[in-house]
Amino acid sequence: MKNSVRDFRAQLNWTQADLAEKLGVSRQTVNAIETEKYDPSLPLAFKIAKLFRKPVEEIFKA
Amino acid sequence: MLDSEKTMDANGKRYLKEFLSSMAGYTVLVPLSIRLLRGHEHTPLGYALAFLPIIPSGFAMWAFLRFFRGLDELQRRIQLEAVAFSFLATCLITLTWAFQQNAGLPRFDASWVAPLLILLWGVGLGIAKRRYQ
Repeated sequence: MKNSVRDFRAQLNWTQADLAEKLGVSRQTVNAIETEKYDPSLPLAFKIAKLFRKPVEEIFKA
Repeated sequence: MLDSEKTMDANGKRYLKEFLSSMAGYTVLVPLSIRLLRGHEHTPLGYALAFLPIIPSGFAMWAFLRFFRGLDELQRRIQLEAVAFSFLATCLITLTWAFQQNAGLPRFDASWVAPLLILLWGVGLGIAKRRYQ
């Protein structure tokens, strides 16, 4: 699955560690999502979308 | 350090502390159990004494489950993939050994199953972690 997590995070000037802290996951998990090696669960994807204030389908694309 | 990293770190530290404590108990209870067992074989007391090292082993298992529940979803997936690898590889090795016994290999001692599972779990962790790096 493709995602734009890195782009949206960069727009907010957050580091991976900042995003990890806000999501309550490890930095390694954020990195694996950004590099598209791991697709997050639906609850985590919605949490990311809520943080970025974007619809989930704008961040994650099949 | 960030809160999430602190939480992860605290989870790992707590696990290490609980695991090492239980292993210390195991190290003490194994020789003690063997020593006290002499002369009590095939008696209820003997079975109770032989059970002693299982108590800290059970505590170590409980510590791991607590650690597992404190992990985030990707870390849990990595652990589950490692455990699946360990389980299947152990099945394959012990089954192979069982058939090789018919060809003359010595009997497989069941006490090697747990160390084999743990060793292969470590191998599985290495493989699973690489996949998500």
